[in-house]
Amino acid sequence: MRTSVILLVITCVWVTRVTSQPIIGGFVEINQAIRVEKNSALGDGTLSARSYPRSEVRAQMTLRGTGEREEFFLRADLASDATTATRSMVDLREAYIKMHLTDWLDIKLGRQVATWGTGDFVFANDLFAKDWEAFFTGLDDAYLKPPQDLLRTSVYLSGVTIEIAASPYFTPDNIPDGRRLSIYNPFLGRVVGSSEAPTILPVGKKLNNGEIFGRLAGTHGGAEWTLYGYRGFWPTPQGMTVSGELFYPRLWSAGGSLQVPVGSFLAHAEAAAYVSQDDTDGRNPLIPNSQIRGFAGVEKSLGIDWTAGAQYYAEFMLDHDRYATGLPAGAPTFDELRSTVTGRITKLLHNQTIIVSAFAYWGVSDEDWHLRTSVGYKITDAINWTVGASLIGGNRPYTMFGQFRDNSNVYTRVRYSF
Amino acid sequence: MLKTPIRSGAAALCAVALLTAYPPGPVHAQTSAALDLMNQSHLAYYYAGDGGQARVVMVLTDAQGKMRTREFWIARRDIADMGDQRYYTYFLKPADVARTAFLVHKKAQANDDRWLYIPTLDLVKRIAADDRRASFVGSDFTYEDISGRLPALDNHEIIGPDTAMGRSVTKVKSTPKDPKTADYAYRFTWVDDETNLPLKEEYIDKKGVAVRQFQIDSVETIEAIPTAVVRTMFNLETGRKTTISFTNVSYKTNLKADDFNERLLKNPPADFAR
Repeated sequence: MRTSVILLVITCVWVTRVTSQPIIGGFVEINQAIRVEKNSALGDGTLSARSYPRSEVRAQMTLRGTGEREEFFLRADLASDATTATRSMVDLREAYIKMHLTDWLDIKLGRQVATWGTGDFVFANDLFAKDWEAFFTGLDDAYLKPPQDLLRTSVYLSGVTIEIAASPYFTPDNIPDGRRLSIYNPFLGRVVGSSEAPTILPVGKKLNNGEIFGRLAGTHGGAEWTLYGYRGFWPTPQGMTVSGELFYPRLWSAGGSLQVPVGSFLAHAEAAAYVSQDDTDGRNPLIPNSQIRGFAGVEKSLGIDWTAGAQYYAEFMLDHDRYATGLPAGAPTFDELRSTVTGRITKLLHNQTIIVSAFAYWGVSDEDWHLRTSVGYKITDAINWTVGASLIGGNRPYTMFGQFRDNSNVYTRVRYSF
Repeated sequence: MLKTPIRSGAAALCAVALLTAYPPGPVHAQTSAALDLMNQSHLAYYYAGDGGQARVVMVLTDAQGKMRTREFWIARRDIADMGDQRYYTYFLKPADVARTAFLVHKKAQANDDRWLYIPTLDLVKRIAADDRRASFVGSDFTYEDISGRLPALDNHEIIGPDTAMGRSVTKVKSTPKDPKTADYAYRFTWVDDETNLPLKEEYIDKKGVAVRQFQIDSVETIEAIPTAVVRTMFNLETGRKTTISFTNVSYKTNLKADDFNERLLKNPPADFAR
């Protein structure tokens, strides 16, 4: 909160400095998500919490100004949600200053969203924070990326881009906490609501606990290649303490990606090595093993206003034998190679005012799945109406999607943009 | 775009048309003159100057008179006349797509490379080459209408002198060499005798019915270049029309060919963003 206020003040001061005419924009939106089945794990909550993962009114205001060599941007949400105890919250999503210092050097300082990599809803080298709670409860896809406080430096040298983004502290993924969606408690071995949610130990805010992200990108003919690096923490609390809490183990990673048109297809491939620094030899069953993760996929236009895509994603555990022998008897075991397949189809109709989209994950190894479908209609230039479904299932309660299997929901959004 | 032998053949033809100093032989006089005229028209309309920029207002009106508006900046840089081009589009309106940017490396000999920048995710997304007959941002203009169809893809025939939009023009009939590359059977173009601009076009389907009509509503001379500043495409089947108006036109853009990259997608020129 204190950081938010400081960022707000700095950007507002900058507003008046760089421009006399800032541009104001934003939207007002109603979001209503409804469960398609009863979730007994959430039985301790109120009726609304059990029936509606989200029931909110959200207003967003953006403010931006551009000078000759600098730019500021401010984006703040005010949301009031009937399903949360606090009801209303201010969410400062972006507040940054961008400076074009020379012909080849830009810096972007402040709260911002960041995305890189080639995947479509799958990630290997993009270790910027993600908001899985928003992802599963009917918010716009843009909310998958929560903001982070970063100093991002971009250097552009004769066709090669070098970027370093650094934060003095760690921003974890926003994962469901048992209020909007039930979650798996590994200590209890079952799916629970917020009252039985496991305790998560936050990463302390000190100098050595910062995050650093790097990227080196270039092109060769029509192909785009990129190398990546990261030093920080596992984005979700995958470590367990002996006293029964979850924590974020240290992580560093390095990887690369390639994107290239092949005939009428657009192909991409990406891989990353995740080194679990607190357990490099994989002996400690309470800390995730080092792994290689990656994916490959294609996208293709199937004709006018039709696009389809498919991806194969895999995680390969590097010390699976040690992991397996270290596990307590009866504990859930993951395969050495875990595969997931994704598919997407998008169709635009009615002069591109209607977007019909379906995206599916199928966890081949974990036997779980997630289907995201939506129909969006731009009634006018200002009003957009979306209905969709976020359906989740799985055979085991401890897998990525399996733990959310009783949280399938349908949702509707109406947004007025200005 | 198509990656077929036709296209390389087309490029060769096109090069010949541009470079040859010899008078055409008597048998092909008619078609060669027609191709030459269409090449001149293509250059005047799609390759004016070496590049340029403009602020564009696009109004889409449906049969019921309901309007939708898009506003964007567009910048272009030519690598070679009748050859590769770079296009950059920065959206201002509607509000939900403000700050979205679109980059195209248009290639005369291969599929275009296209990227989209989605500001709310800070995501640069490479997108699969779409069908060139797809609509540009939901309007009655296709991608091909916006970035041009090479004259060498069609057989051209001069019909004769005519009048269009109150000016003396030459009427040309163009028939796609490969019917699969177009969703019309043939089209007529009325080429202005003075500026070579395509003042009017009619797209005719297999049954001989006009399905779309294009016209240049207003021409202004900007930096000594005759420029079509207002253009309309009528969809005669649906009763829809789209009008594009250009303001702030300049052929002196600061953007060099190498600037049409990821940095531009994320950082619009200051005069575009204000």
